[in-house]
Formats: sequence, structure tokens, C-alpha cells
Amino acid sequence: MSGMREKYRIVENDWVAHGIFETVVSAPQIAEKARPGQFLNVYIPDGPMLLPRPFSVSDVRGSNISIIYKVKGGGTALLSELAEGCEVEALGPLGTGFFDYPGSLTDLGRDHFADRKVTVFLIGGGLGIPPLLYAARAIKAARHGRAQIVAFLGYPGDPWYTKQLLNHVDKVFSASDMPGRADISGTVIDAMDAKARGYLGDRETANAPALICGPEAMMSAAAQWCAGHGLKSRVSLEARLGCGYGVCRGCSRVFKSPEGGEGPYMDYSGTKRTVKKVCVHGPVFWGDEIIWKKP
Amino acid sequence: MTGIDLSVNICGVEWKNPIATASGTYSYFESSRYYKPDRLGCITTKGVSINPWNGNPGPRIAETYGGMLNSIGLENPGIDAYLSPSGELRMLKKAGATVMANIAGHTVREYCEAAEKIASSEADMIELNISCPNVECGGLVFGRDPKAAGDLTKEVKRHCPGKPLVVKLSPNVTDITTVALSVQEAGADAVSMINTLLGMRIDTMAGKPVLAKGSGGLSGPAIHPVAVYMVYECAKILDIPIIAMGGVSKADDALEFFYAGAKAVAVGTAAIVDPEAPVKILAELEKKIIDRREGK
Repeated sequence: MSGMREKYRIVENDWVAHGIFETVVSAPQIAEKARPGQFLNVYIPDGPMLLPRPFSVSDVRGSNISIIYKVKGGGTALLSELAEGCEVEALGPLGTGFFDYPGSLTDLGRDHFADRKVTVFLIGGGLGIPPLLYAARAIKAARHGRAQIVAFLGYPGDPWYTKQLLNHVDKVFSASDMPGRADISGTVIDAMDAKARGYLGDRETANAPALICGPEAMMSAAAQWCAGHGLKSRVSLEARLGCGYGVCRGCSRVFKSPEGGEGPYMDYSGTKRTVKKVCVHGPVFWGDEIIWKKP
Repeated sequence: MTGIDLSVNICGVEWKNPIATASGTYSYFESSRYYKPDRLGCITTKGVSINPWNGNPGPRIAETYGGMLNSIGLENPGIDAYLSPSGELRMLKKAGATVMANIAGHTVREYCEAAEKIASSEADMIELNISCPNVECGGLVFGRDPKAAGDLTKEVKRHCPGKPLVVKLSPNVTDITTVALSVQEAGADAVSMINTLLGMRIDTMAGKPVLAKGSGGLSGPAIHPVAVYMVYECAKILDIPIIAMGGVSKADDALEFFYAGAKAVAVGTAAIVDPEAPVKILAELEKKIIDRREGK
């Protein structure tokens, strides 16, 4: 049986950056199971707001679980204002994460490169950055130093959260669309163009997929950058979810990959496609199976 | 569990209790991680059509005050996948569930072909979806017109004479009782009601609808009183049983439907919000009934 919808106590509720908050709940059952890239359904304690808000797991610290989110509407505003000690209902952990495939970076039993040092790229944009921290921590924990982690982070405006990341990441290159605010002025792709090539030399890097999380347009560009440089990628898609556990099909999306989902379906040109639910088959997918949305 | 007998007989099929899932809110492969499907009176499965359907573009979901809008568009893997040895129906039957297979189509012929396939399957009952507001042709085109609804029911019944046929009614009509009477005359064994109400939300920053399709179907607690009224009106004139649905999120909501004249109740949106909602509501209902018997 999966984790049920339960009440959890808020132990911290902090301002992180402009409009961005971190809520930490004491949830031993979730903390024990949550894998990087998975998410939680959080229920807003207000009767008429029925639907859960899905948030990626940003970090697990002991039996506490952290989510970082932007206040976008009434639900997230209410969540950000809850005092420490209040209870909030959540369901999870849910979904397929960054390392949920055989032979992943943290599945050393099946990884041919387990004993070698690999270089892993984390590519994040805005609110997609915090979930990468938990992924970085998991890689370091599994590989005990046999991993070099390089993060490329794109921000609208001032960078935030870089200090927390630096505890788990070997090198951070930040990019901002506002000149002078970050290491590089421009997009995260500009940062990769400028700084990533030096890390691309060895075979081990090619074996380690880049982990990507951020807005769709940024992730599309980053996944294509990786593919163009011989790197696979694991991409955490964002979607408007209904149930979050795979019954309502609110988040379904058509993918290139022929296996692992439902189908085959034919698209309008008669090509075989697969429909997958972002909430259970993802939110993390392989970069090369995604059909990117046009901006 | 509690030892009280809440079983009901819905047109010849024995349900161990009067709580079912509403179509589109249960999926064996996901929901059975939260509770065993044989705990409920009946599992109604997501609408299946002769060919796989991709559904509508996203966003397909929008929250509303006390409810939600959906415009899924009956995305489904097709009836052959549903009926395959590793498909949802086989899994549910293996788990001991009573199953109502919801079928959808674009044309009379598609509905009939689907009914014929279900008729020779191990599904216990068929639910005819003539009320989906989210598909371009089919669905609501039949459900809005008493004559078209009756004609379709008669035709489909001919293709599945041995299975109880439940017709799912739309509230998006001037008078739901005329449609209910028409499908009863045409041979429906029961009706289920109500499907979602047509609705729309507009993103005031973008100045356009939240759902990519524009409109969608409204469900959840917000529509419960509408559903209770419609069940009440139909129960006065129908001889066939009513399976009621529309915003059931606690035992008292189900009781309202029973007092209005329903024989069973389905839980939909509540299960989207909490996977265990159908069994929680059942447990609460059992407790309420025992408490009343004991005069509490």
C-alpha cells in the first residue's frame, strides 16, 4: 500500500526569496520513502480549495521534508502563511524520479561506472532549482566522492539558493537575465556554452545523464544542448495535475517513446506515439522521449 | 468489517454495498495501491471506446470554488487494451470486484461495437456514456435529446441483451426527466446521474479560458444539490433504479441521495482529492447506520 493522505505538522515556514517560500513538514513516513524528483500532494486547509497542490521534494532532512514554491494564488498564499505547529494534509511521495531506472547514478549495483568518478550536470531554472539539491545530495551519498557535480542555474533577476546548493555541489555557474547579478549575463544555455565544454571530455560524463528541472522552454533548450553534446538527460516536467496519482488523466501527454506508457496511439501524421501520465510515469522523463511544447 | 448488510441488487447484479466509483476517477493499476477494489459495491471503469482516444490538449483541469472542471476528452487506450489478459477488467475480476464498464463512442455504430465486446466479457454491467461534455461528436449529442438518447439506448441494448445496461444522464438539459423516461422506455435497466455540468473558468491575466478546450465539466461538492434535486425528480417517475453521483464527499451526501430515491451512490471527484475517499465514505456510512440503529 502507498502512503495515504495524512496530516503532518509544519516545523518551519520560511521566506526564501521574493515570492518564494520553503515549508518543512515533519513526515517520517514520506521522508523515509521519498526519492529525488518525486513530489507530494499538499492539500490546502480551506474547504472549497479541493485539489492538491503538487510540489517537488526539495530536500529530506531526517524525518523532515522540505518543499520550495512560489506563491501564485490563494492556495499557495495560504500555505505560506501557516504557522509552525499547524497541520497540513499531504499524500506521497508520488511519481517517478530522477534515478528511478535500473543502472542509474545512485543504483551502483548495476552501474558499470560505479567505481569511477563521473561528472554530473545539474541544469536548473528558477523554481526548478531546489529539487536538484536533493538529487545532488543523493548522488554524493551513493557514490562517496566518486562524483563531480556541476550546476548550471538560470534565474530571472537575482540568484537565490546557490549557497544551499554549494554544500552538495562542486561547482555552480549562475546565469541571470539581469546584467551583473550572476556569474553570467544571459540564459542557463549561455552559461553552459561558456563553461560546460571543459567538463565534457571523458567517457564517464557521457554515461551520466544531466538532470534538468525548470520552465518548459528552458528545459527544452537544455535537453537539446545535452543531446547535441552527446549527453543523455533526465527531465522533470511540470504539468497541471488533477489527482497526482494516476486516475484522472488531467496531466497526460504524448511521448515519442514506444514503451512504458499506454498506446500505441497514432498522431496526426500516423506516427506511433505513447500517452503517459506526467504524475505516475513522470514527472521525470528521458529528454529524448519528450515532444516539446511550442512556446 | 462491521457485519451489517448493506448489499443492494442493481438490476440483477448483487453489490455488496451501495458505494461505487464514478467513471474516470478509478484506475485499477493506481487505485488498488490504496484499497482493494472488492471492498466497494461496484467499480465503474473509465470510458473506453473502440479505438484509443488521445483526449484533449492541456490544461485539462481547473479548480473551482468547491469543485473542479475537467476536459479530459475520454482519453483511453481502447477497448481491446481494456479487455486484454493484462488489462484493467481482468485485473479487477481477478481481485473479486463487481465491474461496470463505461463505454463511449462517436457514432451509434461505435457504441454498439463497444457494447458487443463488453457483452461477451466478464464485466457485470455496462454504463452507456451519453453525457460527456468533452468530446466533439458523440457523448452529449445523444444525451441532450430525449429521442436520440432513446434510439441509441435501444440500439445498444440490442447488442448486449444479456448485460444490465445503465445509461448515464447529463444534467445539461432543460428537463432531465424526459431523457430519463425515454431511455427507460428504450430498455435501459438503470440510470446513473448526474454527469458533469458544463462550465468555464477564465484566466483574467491572460483574458482567455483556463482549460485549453475552453469549456469543461464541473464536478465536486458544488454540484451536489443540483444532483440531489435531479435524482429526486427522476425517482418520482422512473421504475428502474438510479445510481446517483455528483459531489459525494462524505456519508451524509450519500444519505441525501438515498432519501432522494437513489438505490446506490458513486464517488468521483472526492477520489481525485483522496484516493481512499470511496472506502472512507463507506466506513462512515456503515458507522452512521449502526449509530442510528442504536439510537445514538
